[in-house]
Amino acid sequence: MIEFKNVHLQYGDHAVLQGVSFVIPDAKITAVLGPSGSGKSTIIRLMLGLIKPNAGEILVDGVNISHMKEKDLFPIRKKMGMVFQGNALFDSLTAEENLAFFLRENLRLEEAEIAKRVRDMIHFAQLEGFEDKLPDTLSGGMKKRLAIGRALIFGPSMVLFDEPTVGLDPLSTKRILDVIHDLRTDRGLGAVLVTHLIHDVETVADSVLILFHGKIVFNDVPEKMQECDHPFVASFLQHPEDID
Amino acid sequence: MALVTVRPLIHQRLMPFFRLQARLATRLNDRAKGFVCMMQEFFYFAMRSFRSIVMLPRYWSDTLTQMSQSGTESIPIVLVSSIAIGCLITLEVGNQLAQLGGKSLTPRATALSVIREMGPIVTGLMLSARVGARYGSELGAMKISEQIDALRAFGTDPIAKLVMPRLVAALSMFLPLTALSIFIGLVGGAVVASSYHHIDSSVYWNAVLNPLVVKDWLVAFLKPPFFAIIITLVCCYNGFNARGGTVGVGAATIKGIVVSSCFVLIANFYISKLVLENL
Repeated sequence: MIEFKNVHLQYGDHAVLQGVSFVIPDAKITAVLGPSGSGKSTIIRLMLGLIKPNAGEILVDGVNISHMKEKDLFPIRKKMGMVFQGNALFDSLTAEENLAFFLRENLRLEEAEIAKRVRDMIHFAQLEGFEDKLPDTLSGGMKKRLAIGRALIFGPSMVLFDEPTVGLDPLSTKRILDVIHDLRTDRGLGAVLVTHLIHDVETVADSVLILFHGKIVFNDVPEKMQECDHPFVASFLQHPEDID
Repeated sequence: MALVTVRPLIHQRLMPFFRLQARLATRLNDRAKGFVCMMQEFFYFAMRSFRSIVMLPRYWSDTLTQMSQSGTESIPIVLVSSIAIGCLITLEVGNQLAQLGGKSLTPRATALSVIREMGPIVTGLMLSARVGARYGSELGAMKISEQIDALRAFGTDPIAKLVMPRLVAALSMFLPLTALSIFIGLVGGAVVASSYHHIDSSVYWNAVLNPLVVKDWLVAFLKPPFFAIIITLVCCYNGFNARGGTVGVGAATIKGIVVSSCFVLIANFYISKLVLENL
């Protein structure tokens, strides 16, 4: 479970988050929706401890990580896999090496165990036959699946997705959303899905947080969005393509 | 009554000036704050880079790769630049000394220039351009594509993984490259001395090597480790702080090269001054 308690974050004069509080439960898919620059991606960076808040507390399974040192954060980060918007795959490594990289870096495992875990992830990402390919030679959907496979390599309980379907064709988008859905139903994993696409929210999310000007203006199940009287939510539901 | 009306008028006329002054002061204040913050961040970055040298055994293969890329692959550019410098110094100095009737002093003048100053500084500047550009652009591209964040997110210290091997590689390779540069510069000088100034090779090498003292070598070989530290840390720091897409990578790379080259020149002057004045 991830909990934000009155979190504030400011860059210079720009207040990115202003007293944000919410709870992300385990084994549920929570979408964070909002226009560009509303602080959506910042939220998942805060969850991983990649940036520190100016004020407030961030609790991961009851542990306050807001001011934790980098070296103490690894056990927390192992609980959460991260899928970056641009995938952040290492372009000089093959698909297989990308999956094995962090196992070799951070866990003292036998090569046979690493090979087994990598094989499992290649199978999960449906990348059989592409093990030796560099990320640049893979399609957008394949890269995203490889990034999801890498996010699962430590066996996390929660996966954080930063705009997972941006730039993908409709077929790849559907496949990625199916993968996110299956992670919850088949493996019991929770997910945080940062997006600006209402379609993603309606397809997979169990609950939705809407961020506007650094504040949470809606936090409930997607079905209740229609009942929300906040002007931004109302306008967004009328013109979802014009979120910015 | 007149004073009462004139004063507000002066104030009114001077108001744009006061506003401009206030805006300038605010901007200067922001710049100064930004600079202090940047220096603080840079020293923290440098400290973490040195502290992570204890993790060298873990990143040994990365370090060897960097040694090959920043050391072995830099040999051609170091050879070309140092032979050119050696030839030119001998040519010019020989011509000037010939006019004063002191042509026999050419080898000694060449040796001192090449060993104490030109060898280290040409190598430093060439490596700042070649190695610094590589470090800055590689790390800048990794930063822009979120690979550095990915390292952190999956529990790897990016400074230990990316900066420390580059720092160790530069520290171990810049010294032999400088030695090579000095040797090739002197060989270039020998060729010009013999073919253009008609100074016999044995006379040249005797005049170059015999009068050399420890101080000369000390000046030459104290510089490369400082240059290695300056170039690696400045260029890697700029790469780590690249932002704004491909343009940002270019800007960070250029900034790294310019700043490290300036610091190389400054460090060169102070090391020479310090050693020559105190030994």
